[in-house]
Parts: sequence; structure tokens; C-alpha cells
Amino acid sequence: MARWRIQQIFWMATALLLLIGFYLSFLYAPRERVMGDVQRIFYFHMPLAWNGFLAFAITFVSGLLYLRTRKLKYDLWAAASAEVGLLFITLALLTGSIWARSAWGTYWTWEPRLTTAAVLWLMYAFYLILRSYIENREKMRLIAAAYGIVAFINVPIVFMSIRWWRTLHPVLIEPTGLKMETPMVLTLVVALVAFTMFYVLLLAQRIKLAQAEESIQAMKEQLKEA
Amino acid sequence: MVYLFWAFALVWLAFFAYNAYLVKKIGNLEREIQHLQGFIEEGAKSWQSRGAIT
Repeated sequence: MARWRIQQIFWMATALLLLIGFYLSFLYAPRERVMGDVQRIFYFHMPLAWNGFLAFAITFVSGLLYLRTRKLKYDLWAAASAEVGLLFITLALLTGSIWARSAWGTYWTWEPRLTTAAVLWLMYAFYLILRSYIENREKMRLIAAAYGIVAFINVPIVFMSIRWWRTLHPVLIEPTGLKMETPMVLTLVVALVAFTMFYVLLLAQRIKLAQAEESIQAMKEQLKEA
Repeated sequence: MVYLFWAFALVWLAFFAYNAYLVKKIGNLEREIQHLQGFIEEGAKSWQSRGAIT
């Protein structure tokens, strides 16, 4: 009961923070001089990408924990986070493309940030395919954990690509700080927190689903044995 | 402004659809769990009663 109540409060807090984030993104943050209103896509594009990276980091850590302890819950966390992370990265790619159409005149160009992000998307899509194709569940869990650890190598590459190579993608975070005005920074921080809370909620739902699937599998095996 | 609208609409449609999918599937699986639990309990009772006869 207490858990259900906490979850309800967390849902409400997330919804409220998202609404504040919408207000700040559309009405409070100043209009960017060169790009105009389309720049506001950034206030959800960046949180989407950040949460995608966070989700894959959780898959990475859960994979390590699974290999170390062989506890089922870590495998469920890894798979759930990879699926939710893939959704966030897909939406980050799509919103980025929509912004690019307005800013660069094209939806897609093979520049380093976009290319590494597309590779990242493919790697985690393959992670989910891999999980559904291996029939031996123990073997699948081991292979998926190892793959989830290796695939994470691409996350810092995607993040650093705009610093390592010549790219069209804007660089906003520099060693000296953020290249934005204070109201824009405030809007971004609120959006980041709100989207991260939303990610946590989706992850909790996805884990619940994975647990239910495991329970059914165990029950069916029990019935088969009987 | 049109690009901003499409990007915003796309993100929230996708999230609502995914969340609805999760909620619906969890509901279906919970019903299946209850059904299977009932099945297992009935099976156990039936085994016990057979044990009592023999």
C-alpha cells in the first residue's frame, strides 16, 4: 500500500514538473535569435538523448551485476532499461532530424554525431533482437549481459563525437560552462529533471511487466512438471 | 513553429502509446497469473484428494 502511494506521488510530481517544463520551454525561455522558435526542440531533444544514455548505463551496470551474482532481477533491469532507452534514443534521433530539417535544410546527414548515434540505435535494437532469438534462457541472459556491457562503449563515443571530429552538430557544453543564457539553462535543467523522472516511471512499469512475464513462465514450467 | 509542433506531438504520442501498451499488457499478464494460480491450486487439491482416496 505504501509503495503504491509513493508511486502515485511520484507520478503526480513528474506530471507537474513536465507541465512546468512545457511552460518554460514554450513561453519562458527566450526566442533564439538565429534559429527562432524551432530551437525550443532542444529542450526535449537533449533530455531525450541524456535519458537514452542513462538507460544504457543502467543496462551496462545491471549486466555487470548479473554476471557477478547471476540474480534474475539484474537481467530484468538490464532488458527493461535497454528497451526504454531505445525508445528515448529513437525519439532523440527523430526530434533531432526535425530540428535539422529547419536548421540545416535536411533531415539527415552522415556527420559524426548523427552517424555514431545511428550506430548506437542499431546496437541496442540488436540487443533486443538477440534476447528474443536465443531460446535457452540462461544462455540468453549471459550473452545479453556481455553484449550490453560491450555495447555501452559506444555511449561515450556518441557524447564525445562533437568534440573529437569536425561536425555540424552544435556544441553547447564546454569546459568553461554552458553556451546559453540563464533562462535557457534553467529551462533545460527543469526539462532534464522532469524527463529523468519520467524515464524512472517508464522503467518501473517495464520491470513490472518483465517480472509478470517471468512469473508466468515459472508457473507454466511448474504445470508442465506436474 | 510547425517543426516544433510536430516534434512535440511525436514525442508525447510515442510516450502515451508506449505507456498504454505497458499498462494493458501488465493487466493482461496479471489476469493470466491469477488464472494460472487458480489452476495450480486446483491441481494441488485434486492431487491431495486422490492421495486421500488411495
